[in-house]
Amino acid sequence: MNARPLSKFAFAVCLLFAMISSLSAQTISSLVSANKIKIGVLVDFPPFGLMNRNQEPDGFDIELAKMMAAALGVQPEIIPVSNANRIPYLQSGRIDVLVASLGITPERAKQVMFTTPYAGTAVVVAGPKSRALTSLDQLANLRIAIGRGSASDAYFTRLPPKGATILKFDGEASAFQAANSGQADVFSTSNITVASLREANPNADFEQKLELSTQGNGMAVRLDAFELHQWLNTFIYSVKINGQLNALYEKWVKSPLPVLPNL
Amino acid sequence: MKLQFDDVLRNLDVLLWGAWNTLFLSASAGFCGVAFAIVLCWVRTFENKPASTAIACYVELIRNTPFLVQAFFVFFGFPSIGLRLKPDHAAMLVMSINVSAYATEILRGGIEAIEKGYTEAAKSVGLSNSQTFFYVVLPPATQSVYPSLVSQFILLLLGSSVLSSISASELTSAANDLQNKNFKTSETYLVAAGIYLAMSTSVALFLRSLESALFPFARTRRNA
Repeated sequence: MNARPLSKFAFAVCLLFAMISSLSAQTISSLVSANKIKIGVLVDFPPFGLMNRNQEPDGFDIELAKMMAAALGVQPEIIPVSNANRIPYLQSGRIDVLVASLGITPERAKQVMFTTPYAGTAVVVAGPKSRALTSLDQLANLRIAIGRGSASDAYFTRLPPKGATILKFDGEASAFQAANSGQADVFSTSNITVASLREANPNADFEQKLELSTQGNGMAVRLDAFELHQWLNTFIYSVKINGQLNALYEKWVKSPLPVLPNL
Repeated sequence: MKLQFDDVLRNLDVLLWGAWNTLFLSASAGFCGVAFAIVLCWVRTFENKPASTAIACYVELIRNTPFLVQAFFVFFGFPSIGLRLKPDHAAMLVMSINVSAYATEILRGGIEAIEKGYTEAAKSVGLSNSQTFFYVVLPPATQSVYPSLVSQFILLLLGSSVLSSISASELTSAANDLQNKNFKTSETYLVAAGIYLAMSTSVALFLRSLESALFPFARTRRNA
């Protein structure tokens, strides 16, 4: 009596596994013949990724992604991802490449293959103007709000300040809101996010306090996508040389492109 | 892609700790919420128009807005009126508020189904309004809607998963953190889902087994 639903379930599970395992290595010619590249971007990380007035993804990463697709000669399909799901999206084949301000770390490089960095950011702590915060020791016993899966998360997981409470939220906006409403003493995010939060909240009481670390962001492809990886490196090299990358960075971030070591 | 559970199982204690917190939060919130719902039902028996309207508004407001929005409102909004709650306390408060609204509505159904004869008999032997409510109406009313209350509690337990958004330490936030470290997303959430399944089924079984102890009159009433 129960056999039918059970066998249907088993069939569905088999189908799922078949779909997952049928991902084959990606080549340039397969992308070109499909005339489409699916690009994962963040839309909650201004000015790199955001939703514009028309509710479309926009920002430094998105413009660079479109430039990249144009150089490859295929149509870009821009797919919003989150801090937490961006690597799984790539691994499961829902996207072909991440242009999602993904910081280059050896840990992540076990899961995805990074290109040479195309942009850079710093992880910083920000808090109320009245709070004295000039050294890392002063983070002890504070409530620190961060976005789950962010570079701040990685930093504080590795080096938790003594006695501090780390409050993890599902996005940078919530982490900022927590500090702004007094639910946390300080929040940690990138220098860029602090700049755009300042622009959006001119009267809020916070400022950048401490720089924790700097990171280079790379595009990322699946571990076996060597052709695409090499092509992306060449693309990044060319836009660095011809000044397009710097111009794009100036346009969105309002500061010159940092000097980025090559990968 | 092969599923590899090693990384998840090695950190199973993280998930189990989250599961314990989920259970604790749900149990406390379920208890407070149902207690508050009983108070609201009791206030209703006074047939005071403004009070009943206020209760109806409360119930409809909570039942017709998303749980996550309520959580954001309590956690991010309440500090502006000076009420600053830790994430877990905020989570418990918002869960209690949420379940109280649903439980009020469920109990109302049970109370309205009680035959008039019960209350008339109670009044004729001289019981006050409140005595009638607590001794005569509430026990059989609660008993008749007990299965609905149990499923509401299960919904609460599963719904608490969205509270990772206000940084509450429960099972889903433990799973979120873990999959951020091990990048084994499917495996981590599969294990978390398994734990949720085990929790909700065993809690449901436990609560149902309590029924005869909680309502000793039930058997005779059923057989009648």
